[in-house]
Amino acid sequence: MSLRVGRQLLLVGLASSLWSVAGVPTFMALAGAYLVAWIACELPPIRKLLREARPRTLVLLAAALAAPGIAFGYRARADLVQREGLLGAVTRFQDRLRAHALPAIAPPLLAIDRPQTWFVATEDAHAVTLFAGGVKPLEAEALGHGLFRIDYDPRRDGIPNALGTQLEITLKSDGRTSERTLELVRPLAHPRWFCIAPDRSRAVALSEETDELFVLRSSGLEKRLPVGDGPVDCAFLDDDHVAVTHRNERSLRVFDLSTGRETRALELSARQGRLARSPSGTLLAVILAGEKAELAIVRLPELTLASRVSLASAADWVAFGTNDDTLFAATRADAAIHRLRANAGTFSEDAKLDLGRPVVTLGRSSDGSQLWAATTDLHAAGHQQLGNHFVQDQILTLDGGRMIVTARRLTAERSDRQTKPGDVDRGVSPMGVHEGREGALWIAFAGTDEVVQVTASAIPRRIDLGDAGLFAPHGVAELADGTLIVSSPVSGAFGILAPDAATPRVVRVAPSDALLLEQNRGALARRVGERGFYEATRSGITCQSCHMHADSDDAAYNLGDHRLLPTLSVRGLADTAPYLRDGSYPRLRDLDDVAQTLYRGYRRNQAARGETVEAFVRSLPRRDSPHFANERDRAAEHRGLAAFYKAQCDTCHRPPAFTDLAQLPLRFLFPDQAAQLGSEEILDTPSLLSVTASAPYLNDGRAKTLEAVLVAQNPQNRHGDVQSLTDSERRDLIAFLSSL
Amino acid sequence: MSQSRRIAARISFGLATSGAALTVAYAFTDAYAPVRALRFVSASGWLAGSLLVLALCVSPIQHALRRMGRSRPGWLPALRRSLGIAAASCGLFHGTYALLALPGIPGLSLSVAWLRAGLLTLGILLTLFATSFAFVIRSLRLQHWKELHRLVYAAAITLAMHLILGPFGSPRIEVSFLLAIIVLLLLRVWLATIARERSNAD
Repeated sequence: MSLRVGRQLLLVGLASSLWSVAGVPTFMALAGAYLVAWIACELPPIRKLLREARPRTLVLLAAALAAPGIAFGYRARADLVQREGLLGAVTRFQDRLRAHALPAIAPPLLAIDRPQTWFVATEDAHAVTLFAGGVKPLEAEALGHGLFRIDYDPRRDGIPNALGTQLEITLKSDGRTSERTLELVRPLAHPRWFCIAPDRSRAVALSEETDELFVLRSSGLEKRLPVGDGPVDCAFLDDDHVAVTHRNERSLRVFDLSTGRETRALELSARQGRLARSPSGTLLAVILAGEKAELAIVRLPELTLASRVSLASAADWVAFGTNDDTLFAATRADAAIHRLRANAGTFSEDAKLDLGRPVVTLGRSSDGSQLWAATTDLHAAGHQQLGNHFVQDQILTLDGGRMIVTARRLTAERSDRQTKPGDVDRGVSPMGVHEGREGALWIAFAGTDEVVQVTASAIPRRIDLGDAGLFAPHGVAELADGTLIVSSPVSGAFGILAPDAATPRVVRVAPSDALLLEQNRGALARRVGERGFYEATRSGITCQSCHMHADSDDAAYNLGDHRLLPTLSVRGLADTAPYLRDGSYPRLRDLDDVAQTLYRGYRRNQAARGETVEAFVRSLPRRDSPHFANERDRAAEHRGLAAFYKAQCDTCHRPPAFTDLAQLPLRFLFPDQAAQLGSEEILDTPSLLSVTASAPYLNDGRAKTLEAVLVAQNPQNRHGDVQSLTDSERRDLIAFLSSL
Repeated sequence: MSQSRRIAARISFGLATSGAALTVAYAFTDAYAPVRALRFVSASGWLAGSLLVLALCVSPIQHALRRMGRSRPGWLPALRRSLGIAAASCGLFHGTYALLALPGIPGLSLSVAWLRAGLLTLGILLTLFATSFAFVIRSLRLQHWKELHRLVYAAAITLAMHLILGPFGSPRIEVSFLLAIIVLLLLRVWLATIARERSNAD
């Protein structure tokens, strides 16, 4: 061992020791410590000592000095990894690598339950075809600039025959083949809310994912019928006939439950939503959430279209009032309930009740005089709710005639199961409201796995469902004989509770956890993750509280810096690391830390909760792509793509994911905004896929329209070279963006 | 300046100036100011990084030549120093331009991990730059500047972090860069160990 090596080791040991004294687990501090150690060794007395020392002594000294540094590094390794941005670095890098490996495809997911669109970016190829086992070859439509679009409809093109959760596909571009992997989503049955026969003899639930209708009686599951693509909601027209709306097809269909056959259909438009039957039974109101937000009023029993009523934004829930002339529509974008009155056969809005937060679920009393709405807060329009992560689950009783809230019941409460003072473990995330026999109100709580019966006089009756394996209940219905039926979409099961029974009987319509464990562990991980998504933390907040129905509540929250920021959608997030507006979370699983710390953790212990929730969220397809349901102006879209490149949008919104997964300072893009804010922020480039569904736009939702994003909120022309575009090019660009 | 230093300086200067010319040309192919600034920063950063990697190549080449029993060119030891100086100069330009021309970067440079890694790389390179001149070493009476200059390997590691964690550029090139740095570091350690064993045996 030479003196030179001994000296070098001593230097490293001293630096390590100094690093531990400084106690800052960063590489910068370590480099600084090395520099200080070097300067110290250059001091004449130490220099003399080092010159006269034996190499072996120096090595021993170095080892002794290095020990505290090594111990500090070991103890602070998690902190070091996080501070240096190494946490999830592999995930981030892999996502970037996939996005850059041409031909690249996005979104990297195939869900067999719905039509979808992929974009493929190539190096100026002329033709692209996608091949997957079980699916007929999919020819891509060339958009120009090497970009292609592939439309896929599982009913038309076939379902992949791959098992598991990964699908190997082949992209053939100009004769060259490239293998790519997509996340394969083969959803399990998810029965949600019920519609009940007028005589309360049976209830019907739908599974949008598996295109099925379930008929339930007190005795159990009576029938399981195939229906159209993406059934959303149903309403009994009489004791045997049920009208069903569909998300992915244009027809409103009527099924005869006794024969199981479709009897009639009415062409409306795709992306139908919920529906309601009028008190007299002569009208059906159907929500349409396509390009235009509308309500279709359908005449019964003819099943003909009576009229279409335009809405300012798409409605989530609809219910008739006391008569056929009064209709209520709950909309998410403005978090309000709108009352529409019929005048000479045409409905128009005559009153609006601002709630401040959107309606999670809506129930109607049998006479229509009252509505029950579940929300996460109540405040008037214009009032700013600045509570940090403010969520307060509640059931509002609404007087539809006066359009006022007559009662407000906060639902989250504590029980003797609580483990810490202040924790809540009951009544979180009300998901289903139903008026039972004799006016009692039944509420299903997805966050705490229970249903509660509320009456005016008695103490609420509470039924725990978690022990029966019925997690995150959504729908609840009481039949004529007092039997209670509960749906659990995350368990793929119904619970049937006879009036005299203590525990529900479980009727499965999807494979059990045990079976999935044997056959498809990936699907089990997603299912467990979905439960975690709905499960209440001790603070009474769940993922569902803001990311309503595994999407977004379109509301705005103060996330700790006294600014209201719109809730992001959790759909279409696969392979788009990092996450959140500032890209501070490299992996979705790391967000579990927020639940474990800020929200005080969960009552139930579960291993790998973050990983399973990540598996679930990754499996969520993006919000519907608008062009599927409507006529497309292909020429405008092609011109819009040219404008997209001309304005250099592709620099950051790089096809095919329309994001380069990069981050830029807010001040770089929006200097005025940064000056107003007075602090520095970094912005993660969002994907533009399904961009129209993500309004309001930009990091704080300050742009209401795409036009505002391009012009009003881009005065310095730094967010794309929009000033180089003519007015018509800008319109084409918006048409193109809308087609994503 | 000795002849060998002069040759090394010419090689490094030639590489740096042609790289700088390419950087300017690349940036000015774009008329849109924000994109041009990004291109300029990006290209100058790649240039600085490339020069640093070239500087790291010198020691293994020297060791390899010695191992093969061939005489090394006289200018080769000086080349490492001049390439290092060129890398630090380009890095300084890259960093200064990024701080001045990209609004928001100064305020974020300590809070964002990959910017911090870049800043650390630059800090190390500038320290090495400042102690690369004989008159500085003489006037500060530094005896063990080599120990300080071994920080260049730390700079290579933080440069790799800056590249990999930074969201710009092609991931494939970044991986190639990272692999090159890892190979050079391993080669350096391996060849130095062999050389030490040989000198001990002698």
